[in-house]
Amino acid sequence: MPRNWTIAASIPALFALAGCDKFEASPYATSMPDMPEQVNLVNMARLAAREPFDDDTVTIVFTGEPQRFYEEQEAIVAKANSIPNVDLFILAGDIADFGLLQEFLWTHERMERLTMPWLAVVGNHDLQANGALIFQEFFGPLDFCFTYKGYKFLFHDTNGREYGHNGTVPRLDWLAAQMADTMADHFIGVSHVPPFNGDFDPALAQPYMDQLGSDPRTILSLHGHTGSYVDEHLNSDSVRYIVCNAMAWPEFLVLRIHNGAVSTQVMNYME
Amino acid sequence: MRWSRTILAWCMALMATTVDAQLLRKALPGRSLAMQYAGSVGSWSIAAMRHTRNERIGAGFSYGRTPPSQGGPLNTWALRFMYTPWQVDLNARWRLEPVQTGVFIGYTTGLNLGASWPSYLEKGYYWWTPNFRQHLYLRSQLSYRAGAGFIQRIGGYFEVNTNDLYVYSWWPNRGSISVYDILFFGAGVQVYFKPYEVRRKSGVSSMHPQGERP
Repeated sequence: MPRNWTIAASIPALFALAGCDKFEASPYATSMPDMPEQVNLVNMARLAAREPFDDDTVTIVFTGEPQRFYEEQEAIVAKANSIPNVDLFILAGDIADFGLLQEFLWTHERMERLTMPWLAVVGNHDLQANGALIFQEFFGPLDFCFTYKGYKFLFHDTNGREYGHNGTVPRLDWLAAQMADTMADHFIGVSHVPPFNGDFDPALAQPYMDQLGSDPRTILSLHGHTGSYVDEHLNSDSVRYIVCNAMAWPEFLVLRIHNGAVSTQVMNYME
Repeated sequence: MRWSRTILAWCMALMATTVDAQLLRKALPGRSLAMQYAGSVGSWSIAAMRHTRNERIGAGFSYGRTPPSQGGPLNTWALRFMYTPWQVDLNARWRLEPVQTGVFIGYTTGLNLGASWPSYLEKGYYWWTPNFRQHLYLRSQLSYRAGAGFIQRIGGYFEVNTNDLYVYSWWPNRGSISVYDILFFGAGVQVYFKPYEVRRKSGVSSMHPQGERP
């Protein structure tokens, strides 16, 4: 009898040895041993390593709101991997629902199965709890840019409501500085909240659209947040605003950009 | 500031073990202190608990600290309830409690955490509480009966817990996230002290010291 109980007592000890990363200090901790860091920067380096390029078309798989949809994440990753010649996979924010590190890890684990580089922009849910700190440690800066095949991608924070609509987000001065780049052929904005949504700082919505539209090289402004697909020109300028479906919905977008012209294809990860 | 919080927590723990409320003495005469590593209530935490005389039901609270090097600085206060359905005396000295279970509510402060949502968010914009987490846990404890003195029993335990938001994330994703994925570990040492004696009006002790059979 005692021997049986000794065996029973050793079971927890085996659990303990199974994984030290399972010893959680706090669900709100911003870091843990061996966690991924600067994932966006790592993927930007992966993109840059693709030079010299085989073609001058940029193919992007575009989706968003992966939070708490882990089964769907697996399905979309499998589908994206089956699409030929994809340069980049873009997540339009809300990597986490509650801003917890564990959520970032769960999404990262699945996105790392992609065969192409993937990048994430910050969503309002990512800023909950200590999420803003985690995002910056895990993915990198909230506003960042890079140029690929002549297209300058401007990833930036537009979650104005999370800052009390205080006039600081989005950072229009940062946007203007990046768009002063004379080397880029085209600009593509990527952010979570679109300027026509109430969670965008209302005082900055028109100046934001004016800034994007001030340069005819701006061809796209990609967003998430609202959960349903939108594709339209809001103003009489060059900027096409596209909002992706939330990942809960099986339809996602494949964007193919050639010489500044954008074609869209709606695909379904359930098919 | 950091040290003042730690000292305050220690004082609160000390108070919990010495509080002189007759009702508490009667219902929960057992006393214990624990030191724990991880377990979602801080990198390191101390817990003070009171127990029923048979030590099957316990309640107490803990204070835990998560340093900057481990994703803090964070302070976590937790209120814990524990039920021990089985106590197996392996021999005169060793006792195994294969399952101890219950809930704890963790309140965490530090970094960007706030107890309520900012006023600029409409009420109900986010449905969950920002820094209160409700946890379920399972624990196994092996303890050594030290004797009938002030320190009566010393136990080592291993614990798994999960919280409301992890369960909420796991439930619709059971095909992708396993139960193991939402369980997190902690381990600690718990020291049981001599229970309070409850005296009858005649002044004769009605209780026997822990560890001794009547």
